Amino acid sequence: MTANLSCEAMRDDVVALLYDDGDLAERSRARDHLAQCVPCRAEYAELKGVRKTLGGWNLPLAPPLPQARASARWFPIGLAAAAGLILGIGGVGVGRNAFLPASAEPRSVATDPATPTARSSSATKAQLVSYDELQDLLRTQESRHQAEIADLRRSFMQTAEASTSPGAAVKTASNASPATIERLLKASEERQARVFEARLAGLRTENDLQRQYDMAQIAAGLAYIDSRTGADAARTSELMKNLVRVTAKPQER
Amino acid sequence: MLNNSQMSDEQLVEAFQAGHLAAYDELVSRWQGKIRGAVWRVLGSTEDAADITQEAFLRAFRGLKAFKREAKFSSWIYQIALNLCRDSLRRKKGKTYVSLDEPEPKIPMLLSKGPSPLELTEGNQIADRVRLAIQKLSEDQREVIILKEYQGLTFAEIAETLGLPTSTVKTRLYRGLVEMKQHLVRDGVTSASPIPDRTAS
Repeated sequence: MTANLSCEAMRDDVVALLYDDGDLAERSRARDHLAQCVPCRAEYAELKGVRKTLGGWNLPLAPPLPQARASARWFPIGLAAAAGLILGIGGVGVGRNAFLPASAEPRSVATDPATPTARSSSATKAQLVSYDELQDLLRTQESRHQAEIADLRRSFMQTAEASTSPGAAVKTASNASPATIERLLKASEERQARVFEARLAGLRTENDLQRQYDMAQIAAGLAYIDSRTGADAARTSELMKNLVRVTAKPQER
Repeated sequence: MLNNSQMSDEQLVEAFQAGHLAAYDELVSRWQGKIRGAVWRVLGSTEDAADITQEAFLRAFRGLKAFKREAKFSSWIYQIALNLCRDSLRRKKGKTYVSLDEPEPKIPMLLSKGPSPLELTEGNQIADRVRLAIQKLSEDQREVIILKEYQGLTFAEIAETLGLPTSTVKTRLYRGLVEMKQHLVRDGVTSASPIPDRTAS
């Protein structure tokens, strides 16, 4: 099938009419052309049908991300970029005189576009600092981190020494009574059992819901097939009757 | 004095460029759903859609200071997101096909008040076939169809986003729809009906 030249030239206008977009003159030209061109009219109807089918692809009803993960991912970009800068990982293009919020605590934002985002006032009320002040803050933070690392290293070395010396081990162990250790262990075990139970219950509920849904889908599918088969059988039977009536000899009718 | 939610995109961009970082928060909450929807349709994966949307908004944040307000913010952010999609598809080419067939969440659909199980079965089948048919289109056609059909952009907005003349946008749309029709007929979603011969008319 080859489109003739005038039909080719009308395609942009026909697309404009199909989407009700573009200027009025285009759509008017398309209407005039369709009124007199049968193949283009047929194609136009087909493309309208395709558009209708395309409408059947909806976004998932649920937010695409599980909530726990979503809250971990999404936080205000402004604050995220500032946090990146503070941690030394972000190449945010801010000038020397740019202002950044002093507080860079991430907060969660709902990912569902339908859910109104909770507007925290933290960003608007954030204390603003200059670039130089930010540099000071970074230096202070860096020295604090270095001190914390040194403390941790010291305590780790002490623990290691204590564990290698038998006398020290006895001394450490004697600090906590067996009863206390036993009580702590029991409390920990109970806590873990509760968490495990809660997770198990959640999994059971989720599993039940999925099973119910699957069953409903299977039932619906079977019902659909049944109704199709029934309709086909009825149609075949009708056709057979017609066939018998048509092929019957005149005296049998 | 207008609050952020009452301001237009242009006003928010202006406020951000004047040093009000909170204005960007409003732009993110205003556009992240639409951008994620477009990215999800282009890539066919919810995981990648979330990552790429976040990356797009981070890049926009980095570049917004220098953003010349000749184009609309929406066109610009769509452009960034689509560029990231193209990079992602190029990287993944030949590596995996899993994301394209990723099943959509089922439980939330069950819990929501909506179509009956029968409608769901038929609706899901059609949605899946449409999704797969769109993935078979060329990148150029897929983008314009998604921006027009699902994002509701005008020809002019698509042209601005993709940096193309509007006539090219319309041609890609036309060709994309014709190709979609062929895929849908082949997959049995719609039936073929012969179009009368043009030479005869």
